[in-house]
Amino acid sequence: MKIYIERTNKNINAKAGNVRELLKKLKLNPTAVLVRVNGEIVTEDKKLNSKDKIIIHSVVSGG
Amino acid sequence: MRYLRQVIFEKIGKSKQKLLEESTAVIIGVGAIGSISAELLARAGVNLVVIDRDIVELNNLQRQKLFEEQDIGKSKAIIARERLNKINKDISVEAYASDLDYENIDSLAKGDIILDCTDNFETRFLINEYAVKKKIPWIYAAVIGSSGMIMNIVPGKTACFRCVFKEPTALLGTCDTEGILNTIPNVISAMQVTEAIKILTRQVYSKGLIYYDIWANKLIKSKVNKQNDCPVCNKKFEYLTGEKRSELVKYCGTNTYQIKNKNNLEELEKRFKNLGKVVKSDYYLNFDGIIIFKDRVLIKANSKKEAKSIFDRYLR
Repeated sequence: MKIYIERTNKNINAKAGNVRELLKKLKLNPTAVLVRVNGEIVTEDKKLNSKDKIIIHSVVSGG
Repeated sequence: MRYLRQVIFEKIGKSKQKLLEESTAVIIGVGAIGSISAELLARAGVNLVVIDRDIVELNNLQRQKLFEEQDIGKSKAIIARERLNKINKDISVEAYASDLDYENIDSLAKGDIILDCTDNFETRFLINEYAVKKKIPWIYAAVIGSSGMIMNIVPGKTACFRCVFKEPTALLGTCDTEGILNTIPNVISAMQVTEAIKILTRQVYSKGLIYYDIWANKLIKSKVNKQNDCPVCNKKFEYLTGEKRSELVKYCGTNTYQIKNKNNLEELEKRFKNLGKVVKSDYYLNFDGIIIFKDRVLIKANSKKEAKSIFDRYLR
């Protein structure tokens, strides 16, 4: 599946059964990112398939 | 007429302008986002409550538009009120140079809408619980680098903040680690205030999370969903009850640490006079760069440990 990581402006390919596995594989802390699958922010339990369009946003806190 | 151009705009008109003039917006944090959002709302005719615990520093002037060089060392909230009163004398502006917490949120954050212009998640979780409990709409806004996010939270209508964001267990990027371009707060504030105007005039507002990167010119809108197991939606309030709070926090974009502490300013002034120069204002003491308010102390330090050490040396 194709994944765009917003903070680093990188497109990568990876395989994972769900969002939790994907974040673990990418070594990303699940509390520091928001995962968008096909236009929707999802939870870590969300199952993934190869055609999903995924964007990983970093959580923004500054003001 | 002051608001003529806004009234001519088809989405506003006379009746909705009246709604704006009868409304009060609470601005929590008058930094980069807050100073711009406050100014836009003041010019639009909305009454304001501004809350900020911080003082103006030189490195704020790059992006925090209500402040000038002469304001360095003064309370952001108090200076903001002065400037906003000069911009529009027809609105009321209340200012609180306070650290918003579970004990004072009920008395300070009184308004028809809350604009989150803070720089930390602890305060956002507190605002979320308060807003959900009181059914007050609020708008999350945050910036870093060249990008930012906003999200409307309308209790009973949309997902709440806790449905979408988890309590961070890792350090998030901050303005001091990743920097900030001074153009992005203007865009995010403009989006936040536009949503506030829509909500206050009872019009259709944006649903979901909006991300914008001004350098890449990229806008991404995402749908968000209510979560059945969300503690806040299930009325479990941990921040509002004081169960979850930290006594020591580092301010975004600075090497300033805040330590919560009840301080007797008169006694401390006497103590510090024997040690060096003390500058006194109506709201705080400044002793050698240590700023002491009645409810907290601001200390410049290179680490949490050093901040605690300075605190223990002078204020224990």
